[in-house]
Amino acid sequence: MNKILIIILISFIAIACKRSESGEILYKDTYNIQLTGLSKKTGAIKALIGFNNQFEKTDFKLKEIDIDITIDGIDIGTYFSKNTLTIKALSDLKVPIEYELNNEKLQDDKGEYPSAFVVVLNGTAIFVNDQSQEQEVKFKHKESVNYVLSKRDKKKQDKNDDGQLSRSEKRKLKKIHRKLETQEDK
Amino acid sequence: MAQLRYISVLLVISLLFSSYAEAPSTEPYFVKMKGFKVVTFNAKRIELSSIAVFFNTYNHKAKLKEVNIDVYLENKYLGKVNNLEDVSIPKSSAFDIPLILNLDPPGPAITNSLWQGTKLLTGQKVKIRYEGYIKLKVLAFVPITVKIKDEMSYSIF
Repeated sequence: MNKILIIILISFIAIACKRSESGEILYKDTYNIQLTGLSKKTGAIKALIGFNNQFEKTDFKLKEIDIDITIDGIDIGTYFSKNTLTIKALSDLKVPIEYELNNEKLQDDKGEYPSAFVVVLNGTAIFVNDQSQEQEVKFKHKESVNYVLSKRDKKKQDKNDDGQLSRSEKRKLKKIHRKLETQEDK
Repeated sequence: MAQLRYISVLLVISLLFSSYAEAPSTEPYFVKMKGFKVVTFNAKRIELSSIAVFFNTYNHKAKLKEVNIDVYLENKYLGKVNNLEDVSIPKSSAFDIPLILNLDPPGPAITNSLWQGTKLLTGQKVKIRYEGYIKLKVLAFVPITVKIKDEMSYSIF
């Protein structure tokens, strides 16, 4: 009888001592937002979404992430991805995102861009561990992003501003001149 | 005879073309609804708008060919959305389709859902169900049907 009581007591103590692992996955920040290809018809918005796993022992996998993208108050679209990136215990993860932009939406009536855009990313990420336990992380990030012209775009713009012609345009003109000259000779 | 030959050549080319195109492991699918708005809700006109988010699993751009979605307010049929918007559908990416339910005049929908409508306008939550499908065309394939079924409680405040 005593033995049974001791076993029950020990098992009670063991259960009481067994701590369930507590923790959560937190949104840290959004890094390196870039707007590219604005000189073309379609551009892209790129960014890195940072998370931190505060669980001491449990690794999680990113199940899915969706982000509503707004630029200067205009609804640009929804980024969605089913990913398998892993966030290890007590570590950070940066999730790269890229979304195609319809540049016409960002232009004003004259077809020009402002020097800076206010980008709002409003999203939800769902992480899952091996025991199928899910962690839902909601996040919102607002940032003013400057658009920097690439060297190629700058050259193009400068030429257009000066009224100068590009190489291909010069070649075309030369061809036209030659044709006209041959016609005159005939 | 010449016509038959022409048709068979075309068939062989299209078969070759379709065999070269990569088919994704999963078909395009519905992701979520967002941005529900009550534009107008009165005896003369009902206008509700929302955005349906889908995912194009194909590694090719797609075209929206058909929208056919029934809208229910608290399990009562309100109307059908079949507006075909000019939507760009990039490859391997999510895309938004604006859904606009425009009943002008509302007809039986208003008598069916007047009480639910007043609940909506006073800021109470009401159940709205979207059920139907869209059709996408990728390359020269037969249009792909993507089903949508979503029920959410919405309020305008």
